[in-house]
Amino acid sequence: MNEIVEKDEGKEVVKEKTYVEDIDRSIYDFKIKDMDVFKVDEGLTEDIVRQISREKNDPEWMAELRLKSLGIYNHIKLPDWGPSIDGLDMDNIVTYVKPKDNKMSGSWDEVPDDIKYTFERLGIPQAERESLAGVGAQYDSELVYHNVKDEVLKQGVIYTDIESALYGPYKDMIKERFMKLIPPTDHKFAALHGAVWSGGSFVYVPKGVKVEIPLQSYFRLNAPGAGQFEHTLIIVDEGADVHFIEGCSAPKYNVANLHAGAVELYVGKNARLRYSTIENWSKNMYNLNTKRAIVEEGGVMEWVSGSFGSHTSFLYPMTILKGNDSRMEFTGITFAGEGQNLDTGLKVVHLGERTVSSVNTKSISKSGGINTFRSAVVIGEKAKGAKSAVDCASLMLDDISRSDTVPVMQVKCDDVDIGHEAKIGRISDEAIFYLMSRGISEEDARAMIVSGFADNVSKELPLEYAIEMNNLIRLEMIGSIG
Amino acid sequence: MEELRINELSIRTWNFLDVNDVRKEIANEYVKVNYEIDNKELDYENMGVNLQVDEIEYASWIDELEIGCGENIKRVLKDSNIPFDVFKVKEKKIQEPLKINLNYEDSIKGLLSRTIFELDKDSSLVVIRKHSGNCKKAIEDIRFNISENSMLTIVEIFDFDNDSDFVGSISGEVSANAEFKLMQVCMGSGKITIGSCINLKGNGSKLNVDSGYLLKDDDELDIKYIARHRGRYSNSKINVSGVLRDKAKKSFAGTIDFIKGSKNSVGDEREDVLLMDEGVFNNTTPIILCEEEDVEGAHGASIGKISDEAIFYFKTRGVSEEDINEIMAKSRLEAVISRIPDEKTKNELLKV
Repeated sequence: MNEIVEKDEGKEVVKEKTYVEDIDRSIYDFKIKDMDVFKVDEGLTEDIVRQISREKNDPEWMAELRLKSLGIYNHIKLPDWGPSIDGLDMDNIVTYVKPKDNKMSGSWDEVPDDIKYTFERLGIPQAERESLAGVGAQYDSELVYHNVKDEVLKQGVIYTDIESALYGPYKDMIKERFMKLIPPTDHKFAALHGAVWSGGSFVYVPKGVKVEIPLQSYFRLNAPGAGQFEHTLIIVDEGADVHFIEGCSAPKYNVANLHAGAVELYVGKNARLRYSTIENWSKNMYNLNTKRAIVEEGGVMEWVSGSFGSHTSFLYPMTILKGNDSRMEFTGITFAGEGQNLDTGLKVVHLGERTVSSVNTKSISKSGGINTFRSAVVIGEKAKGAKSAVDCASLMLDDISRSDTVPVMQVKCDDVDIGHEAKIGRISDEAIFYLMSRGISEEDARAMIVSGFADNVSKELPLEYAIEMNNLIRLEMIGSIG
Repeated sequence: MEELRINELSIRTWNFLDVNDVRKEIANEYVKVNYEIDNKELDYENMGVNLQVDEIEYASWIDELEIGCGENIKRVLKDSNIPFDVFKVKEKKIQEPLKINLNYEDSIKGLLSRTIFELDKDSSLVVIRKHSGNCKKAIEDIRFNISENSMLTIVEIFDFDNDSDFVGSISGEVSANAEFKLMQVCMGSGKITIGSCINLKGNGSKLNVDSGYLLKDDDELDIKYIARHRGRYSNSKINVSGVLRDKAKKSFAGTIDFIKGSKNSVGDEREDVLLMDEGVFNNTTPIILCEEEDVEGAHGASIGKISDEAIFYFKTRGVSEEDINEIMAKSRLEAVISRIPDEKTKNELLKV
């Protein structure tokens, strides 16, 4: 029984607190002995960047980009807003770890045992068999497995590791777009990414092709004190349609790990891309990821984002609605528990006419967790007829946690329709009463309400992932007042 | 002239949005703004409004207040050596509004007005301040302390000439079951920066902000309202409504801050902006900060043009599109003006 007895204007009042169990991390918190074959020194120097470039066998333009990015990194300051990242010391981060026996395989049988064991425990091969059109699995700094189902290949879909694609028939397509949406000058960790990126996937969906089943990339960071800097580049050509799912996890160590990946998404005319992420990094992870999409005329970009892990997160997927009649939908949930400071949200820039953005986010704060929802809706001068609706709700489960909402709407055009609503509070006693008066126990009533609160994301995911997400949030409601 | 960053956002965000603060040039030297008390035939002293000017012994709360426009401007105010005009009300409910007209005249030096309102318990006072004229560099510094069960209402009308540059800072504390009401109406011209930080320190304390603006040409308005909930059952309501025309620019940031201990408190902020011309620029930043579980916070914003339905309605009644714009623009401001608790002031403004 979780009772709080308070004095309320002289009278003792027994108040129930909603108890929400912490996310169960045991399925992710296992470690494999770090038996890398190659690891650069800790820290960030020109020598280290050159080493990585040689190891990756970069084309010349990529090697130059890395060095240019390093120069930018050394000059840009850290942001003067957001959570503190004082606990992150780049001098102690290893930016490249090549796993033992690394060679990317198209069959799980060829993946080294301990790595295969890792992904089996995480359920990746099973998910691939049951519900995915293709999978990319990254372990530390390298992709260890990549496979695409035949029927998808026959449609002309390309889903491959990005490094080999730099030399293949799509090399020009990649060169034209690589770090153009997220230039190294964007911020310090974009520059860091440009200097030391490794791993990640390239996806191309040809004109008019609809990929019925999702593609997935899974990122596992096993080495302590290491960084993961994968780069994902997706191009969805005119009229095409694809759902891409990204998952990630790492075991918890006492030293900091860093994730500074980049995701660049190009959504063509009348195309649709759904990008789903279940982020479950360990609580020593600094998650400074950058994701950006540009959408052409009539295109649709859908973000589904579940953030449950990390010690500190800066995560704001950005969408540029460039073409007329382009649209964005964003559905997200963030769960901040003990020791976590999760600064998440989104940015959307309306440039084209009649562009539409719709945002629905939820956050839960407990056990001292800190949640910040940060957003920017920017309407350009020429975005006549633009519409945007943002709805964010925050649930505070105790008075040792924190939840802040910092939305900005910047409008430079008169012919628009912009709305924003936000709420913060605890579970309503009236809602509990309503359900109980219909014969539902208080415990079930609380469970229903909190499940419903988190439902906005799970219903957007394929069933298997919705189940996984709901497993991440196991809810335990305490009994009724006597 | 010195340039200061004032009206800083209560929590910084992306710099590319340029909403974290306002850069203002401050005069090297300030002189006191001339003002007159309207309806001075009324004997305010006898009514219970005690006015003191020049040097007095300040209570510590005056310097400890969080300044509405930010800490950077606090130093400028202190260095100005301009004394406060202190209005004290002792356990009395003053029926007649205290009307203060501030007339700004072009001056080489900056113009500064400093006023303190101190209400003892069980008091009430309505103050109506009208600002007009031409001020190249003017600052207003209002500080108040409202004791238990008291109510202070400040109504401000800003009706400056072109090229005026004004900074208005309001800071205060509200004790148990007391209330502060602020109405600000911006209907003139120029560049106006308003910052208000209200400390709801007492249990059951209340804040009610009701503001309206009509900006045109190249007017600029930056508004920051902060409600710091500290007392239990404290309540804040911030409503801002306005119209942007021509190339006007406006930036509004409202902050509801639930500080630990402010259980059972409720905060609500709303902004409603009507955009009427292509060249306008609007920023809206409704912030909620919360470190207390048992509270209710909400904010909403609605930004856009006159709806097609409203235009159709008026046109079918023979109203031209130009007149529709005028009607809609004025109606926003008139809605706020109609809530001013003084008939005479209301009528004067509605005639304009």
